[in-house]
Amino acid sequence: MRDLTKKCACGRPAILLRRYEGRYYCDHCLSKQIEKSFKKTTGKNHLIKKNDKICIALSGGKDSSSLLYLFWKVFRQRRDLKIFALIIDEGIGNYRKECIKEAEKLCKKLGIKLYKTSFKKELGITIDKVAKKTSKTCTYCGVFKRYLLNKKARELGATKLAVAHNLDDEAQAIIMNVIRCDLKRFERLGPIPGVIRDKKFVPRIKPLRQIHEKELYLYAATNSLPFCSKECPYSHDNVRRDVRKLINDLEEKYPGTKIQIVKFYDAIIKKLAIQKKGKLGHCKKCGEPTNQEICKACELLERLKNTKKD
Amino acid sequence: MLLTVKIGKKTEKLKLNRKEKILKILKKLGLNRENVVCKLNGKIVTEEEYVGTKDKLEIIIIVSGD
Ligand SMILES: [Zn+2]
Ligand SMILES: [Zn+2]
Repeated sequence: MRDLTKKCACGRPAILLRRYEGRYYCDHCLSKQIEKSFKKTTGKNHLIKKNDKICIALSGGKDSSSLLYLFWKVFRQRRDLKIFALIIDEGIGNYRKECIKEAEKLCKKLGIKLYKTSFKKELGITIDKVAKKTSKTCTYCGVFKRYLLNKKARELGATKLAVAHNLDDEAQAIIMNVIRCDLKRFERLGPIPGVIRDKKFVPRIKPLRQIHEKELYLYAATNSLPFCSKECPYSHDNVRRDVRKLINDLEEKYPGTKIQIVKFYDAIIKKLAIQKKGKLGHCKKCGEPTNQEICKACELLERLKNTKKD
Repeated sequence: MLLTVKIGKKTEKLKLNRKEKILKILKKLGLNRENVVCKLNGKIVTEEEYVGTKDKLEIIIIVSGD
């Protein structure tokens, strides 16, 4: 077999050209860079405190599998921290079931406790059923997932809920909120979204916020992490997909675009000095934290009940 | 000469006159380098490598998480 022409500075064959840096990276050096970024984001933003109990929101995909592995690699010596994982089955055919298998393999490999729950068990519905009543499946799924992750993480005693949002997700969320002119959601982005103090609210942290999606794929693949790479059957044709394509097209033409979008967000949020420490109330129906009378999950569940099947 | 390219589950044949940069092949297929990982003869490589008809090229489409 012939030699590859592109090499990392260390001499090993390159697997990535970081175009915004003009540098080639091999598997080893890329892993080091990703671990460095993870440590920088967690350190700079004080995402982890002494004695934290960290619940990792696992989906079985490349991002959350990498997140779990990074926590294990970087923090496993810290005796004061407790790390465990939580996976939610939304009830989407066999799609999530296959991902759960990969998540189980990874947790077993790392010796991390995995907790499982489902929309069916907790909410009495599945996304397959939701899809029969509405075309806004992703909205319902997102609301229910955030709701359950917080509730379950709290019940498991977590002091932090770590989610696997990467740089691409963050840039997409910023642009989507601009398109929708949704200032409330816009304010809530960042490394610790919605830093609200409430005994029922588990603060969410995003340690992968500065890492490109492609680099996380390479990280998971080159570290031989078990992960599933199936696409959710309902993810076709939503706004996020269009925004993702738009940003990727810009990134291809102007390397560094994603980093700049997130940097711009961070700068503007600081300038605006938005008070993030608002107070939360509790849902009159379920008692979960919300800034409305009835929480979004209860509202959507009610709406589903009143929607006749197509 | 034809080059066999595996894209996800599909396999396509591409006409190749001489060695070509993977990046150029991606362009021909309408794929964005930000959204793919390429394997040349089973090994992950950058899109800057060249392929010939004796090579095996696999293009993995990165699936967005949730
Ligand atoms: Zn290297
Ligand atoms: Zn409620």
